[in-house]
Amino acid sequence: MNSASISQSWEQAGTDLLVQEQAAVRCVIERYIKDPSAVDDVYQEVSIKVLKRIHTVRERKAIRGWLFQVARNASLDYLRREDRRPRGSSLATVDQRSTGDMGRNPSERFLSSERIEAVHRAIEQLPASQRDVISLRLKEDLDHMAIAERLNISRQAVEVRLCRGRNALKDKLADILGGDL
Amino acid sequence: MTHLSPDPNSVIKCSEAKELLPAIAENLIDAESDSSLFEHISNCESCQEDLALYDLCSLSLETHDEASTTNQDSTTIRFRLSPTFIAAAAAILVCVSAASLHFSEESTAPASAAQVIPQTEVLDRTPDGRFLIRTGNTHLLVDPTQLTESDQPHAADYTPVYTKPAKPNQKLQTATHKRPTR
Repeated sequence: MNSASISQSWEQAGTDLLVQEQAAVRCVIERYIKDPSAVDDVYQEVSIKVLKRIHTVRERKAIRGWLFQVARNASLDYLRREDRRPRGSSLATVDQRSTGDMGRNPSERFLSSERIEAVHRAIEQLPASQRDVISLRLKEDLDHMAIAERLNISRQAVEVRLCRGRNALKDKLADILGGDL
Repeated sequence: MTHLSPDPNSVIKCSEAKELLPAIAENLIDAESDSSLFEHISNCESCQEDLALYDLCSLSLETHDEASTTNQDSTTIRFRLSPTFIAAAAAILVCVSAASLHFSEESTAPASAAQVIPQTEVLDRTPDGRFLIRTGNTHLLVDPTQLTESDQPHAADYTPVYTKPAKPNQKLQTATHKRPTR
C-alpha cells in the first residue's frame, strides 16, 4: 500500500468516526459552550483535527477516549480565545456585550460573569489551607514545587491539598450553579 | 448520545475515574497516558459533568486573573518571558534605538543605531502588552501594535516620559506612549 492510499485510508477512518460519533462530540462541546453557532465552529475544528491526527492513535479501542479529549481541548481552547479577546477590564462588562461584535448572548457563555463569580464564592468557602494552594495553582499558575516552596510545605502536602481543594471546589460550584452547567 | 451511561465492561470504575478527574484538569493525564480512563469518561455523563466543573474552575480563575491584572496600576507589571516577548522586544529595541538618536543632544552625528543599542533595553512589559523601554536616560512606554513594517522610526513618534538620570533601584515612572496621527 503506497503512502497515498494509506492517507486515504486514514481519512476514510476519520470520516467514518465523525459520522458515527457526531452526536457524542457535539454533546461534549455543548457541556462547555452553550451558543449553537459557536458549537458548530468548534465541531468544525474538531473534525479537522480528527482528520489530521487520527493516524496518531495507536490503539483502536482508545479512539473514543481520544476523540473525547480532542473535543474537550478544542472547547477549552475556544473559550480561552474568546475570553482573551479585547474587552473592558471590569467583569461587569462581560454582560454588556450582549449585542457586541460576537453577536452572541453572553448569558449563554460558559464563562459568564455569574459563573466566574460563583467560582470565587466557592473558593472563599474553602478552608484556608486549600484556598491558598488552589489560588497559587490556578491564579498564579505556579507548579507544585513552587507552591511547596512558597508555603513552606512538602510537595506531597501540596498535591493532597490541591486534590481536596479541587474536589471541594467542584462540589461547591455544583451546588451554587444548581446543575446549570 | 445525550444519555450516556458507563460501559459495564469498562476496566475502570466510575469512582476510580472520579478520583483521577482533578489530575486530568491539571493536565497530568491525557488520553495517550491512560486510554481506559478516557474511554470510561467518553461513555460516562457524570464524569463528563464533573470534569467540566473542574475545567470551569480553572478557566474562570484564568479569566479573572487576566481581568484583575488589566485593572492594576500601570506601574505594577507582570513579567513573562516568552518567545513572542523576546521577538517583539528585539524589534522594538531596533526601532527605539534609532529613534533615540534624535533625543540625544550630545551625539551630534551618530554613525548608526548600533551605537546606542547597548544603552537601550526593554525593562518590562505591562499587562496590556506595551513595553517599558529605557534608552539612554529616556524611558518610553511603547505599544507594539502601533508599529508596522512600513514604520520608520522618528523622534516625533515617541514621547519621552522620564528623562532624569536613572539611579540604581529607582522606581521607574511610566506614562502613555503618544503617537501623532498621520
